[in-house]
Amino acid sequence: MSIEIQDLHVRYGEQVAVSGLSLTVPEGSCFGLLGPNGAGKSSTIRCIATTQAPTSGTIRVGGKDVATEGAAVRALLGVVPQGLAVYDGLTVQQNLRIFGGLYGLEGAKLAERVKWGLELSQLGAHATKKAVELSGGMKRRLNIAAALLHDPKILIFDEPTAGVDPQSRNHIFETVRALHAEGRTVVYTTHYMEEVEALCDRVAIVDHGKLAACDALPALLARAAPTGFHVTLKAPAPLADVRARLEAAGFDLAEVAAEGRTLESAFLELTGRGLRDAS
Amino acid sequence: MNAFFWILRKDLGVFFSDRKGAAMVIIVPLVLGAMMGLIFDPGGGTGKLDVIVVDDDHGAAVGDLVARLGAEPSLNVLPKTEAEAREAVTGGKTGVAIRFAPGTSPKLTPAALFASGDRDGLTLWVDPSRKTEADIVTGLLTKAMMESVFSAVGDPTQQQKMFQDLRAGLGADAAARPELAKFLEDGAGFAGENDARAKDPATAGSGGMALKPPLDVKTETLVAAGPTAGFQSYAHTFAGMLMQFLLFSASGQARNLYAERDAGTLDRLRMTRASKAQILLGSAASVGVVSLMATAVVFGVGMAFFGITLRSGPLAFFVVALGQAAFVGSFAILLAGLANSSKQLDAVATLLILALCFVSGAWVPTFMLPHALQSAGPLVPTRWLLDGMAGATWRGLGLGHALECAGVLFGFAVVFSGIAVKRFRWG
Repeated sequence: MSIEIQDLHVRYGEQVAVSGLSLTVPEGSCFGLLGPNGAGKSSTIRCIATTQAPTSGTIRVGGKDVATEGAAVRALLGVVPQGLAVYDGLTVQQNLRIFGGLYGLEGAKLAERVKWGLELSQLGAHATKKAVELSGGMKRRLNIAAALLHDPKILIFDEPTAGVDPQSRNHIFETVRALHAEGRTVVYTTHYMEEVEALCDRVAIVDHGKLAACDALPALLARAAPTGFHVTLKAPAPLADVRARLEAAGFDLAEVAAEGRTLESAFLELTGRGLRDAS
Repeated sequence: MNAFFWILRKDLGVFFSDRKGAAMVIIVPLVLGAMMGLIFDPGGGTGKLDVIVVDDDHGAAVGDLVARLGAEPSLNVLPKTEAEAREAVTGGKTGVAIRFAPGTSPKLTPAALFASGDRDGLTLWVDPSRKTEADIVTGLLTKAMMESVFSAVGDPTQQQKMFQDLRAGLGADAAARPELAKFLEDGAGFAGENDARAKDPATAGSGGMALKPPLDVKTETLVAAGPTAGFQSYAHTFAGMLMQFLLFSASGQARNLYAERDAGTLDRLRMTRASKAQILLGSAASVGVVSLMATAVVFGVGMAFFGITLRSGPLAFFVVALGQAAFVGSFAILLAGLANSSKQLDAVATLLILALCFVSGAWVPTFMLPHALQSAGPLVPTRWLLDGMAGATWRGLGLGHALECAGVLFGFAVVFSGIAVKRFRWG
């Protein structure tokens, strides 16, 4: 299932949010949508999700026109909103049941998908807790599960990791990867470039409501002039030795840094990768 | 600038950022103030009390009395037949009816002020929930009777002189003017009796006999459930208070819709199969269910501890309660559709709820309202709701009346829902 956007324009009065955007999200891709604040990402997502009517232009989702086949488009889409759009006063299970019911699930199928949602979000132990009692990360996972109950073919994640701890973020990454691996098309918007690099195979960058670039991730990265080289050693060696030997070989070095040990990786190594609130 | 002024500046900025909402904060008290002024201003207050007159006498004296009642600025006299009058009072459409029986006119004479014979002929039919209106009518009726009777003998100054002149020269004219002669004889007898009572040690100090209107006013309360059924004030007050609570509860639900809009859950609902109408009507239905539950509890307690009875049967009560649920549910989404922010909502809800309560008579008796507002009663759902509740409980007006009131409430619900679906904005 692909998404095809043709000459999309969105205006709010005098303000232009999207101006002639055209792009295609190929079927089965994990597509990163990047752009600074106000670039038009959210307006584009809202148009795809049928909650915002374009000023002009066409969008087809899985071959369905969002303007005329809204219900069919919504059945194909699972949209994970940026905000924590769950009902605080209801339990985890009630939230899932209600959203599943609203997606048209009933009876045994509904029960099965709610169980799946609890497993996906690893909130089974908290099924009877009210959403208001959940931590930010747990709510974020519930927010994701609620959007996927109807087994959509196309998933849209709108900044899904905002305000979560590294463990929950890691879990969300694994969830996105697993869903993508099942053949679903994924659109992922975020401000965190490393998330796109970690997850996406194709990336579009929008700015001022227009498409600045759209390509496969390696091709997009190749467009920038190299500022350094990545050297992989066959066997580990002290960083000082590597630096000394490169200098001895006559290179004028600006920086030599060890890779594979970011602050986040160190944090996860020290605190563990498992979710703290899964049980 | 210290923190206090920064906070002040910030809050004023936030307040006026919603200009319509800010304007309504000023407009609503103005409208309410004007409304209250209209009701209570003695000069401009044009409130008229409806009173039905059934003239089965057709005599000149009763005709004169009816004309005097009609000239009263605070009364709106409605000539009807006996059957029409009974139906109107029983159904609560009019609070008081006056019936003049055949043969009443001859009793409306000055002599009757003193005579102690037959004083029947005048009946007041009264809705027991509106006894205040009956008291007002009784007072004005008595005044009209006295004026009518005394008009036969001139104004008070002339009466005094006439008494003196007639006393001096009555002998020769007594046969030609028997009515006046009788009046003076009765007057003399009345004075003599008073004098005798004053001198009698057994009755001395107990006060003299007073002048009386020529007719006694006999009052009968009319209730469809029967002459012994009587008024149940708790049924009346429970219905009124419940209605107000439910209307405020409906405005709370409208506020929830805005909260959902802000939180993003409304957008999430839109991404499901649910249509706008389904989302709004589902929300309205939740208010309706709460309304039914609250009604069951309030009237259940009322029946158990406050003597409320469902004189039209439980089915009629349930029908009206369903109408009420539909009305308050649709009112919730109507508010959400009419306003566009929480601030606007507060103003619109306050204005509409107060207006609906005023016009329905939930706060002040309807006869205190300007006549135009009294006439507007059938145009507001709350009047039908309170009528329906009264009919289903203490009035005992039966299932037909309940169906009529509930039908009108459902009609309002359909119109309100239509407006809400058309006007509600997602963001």
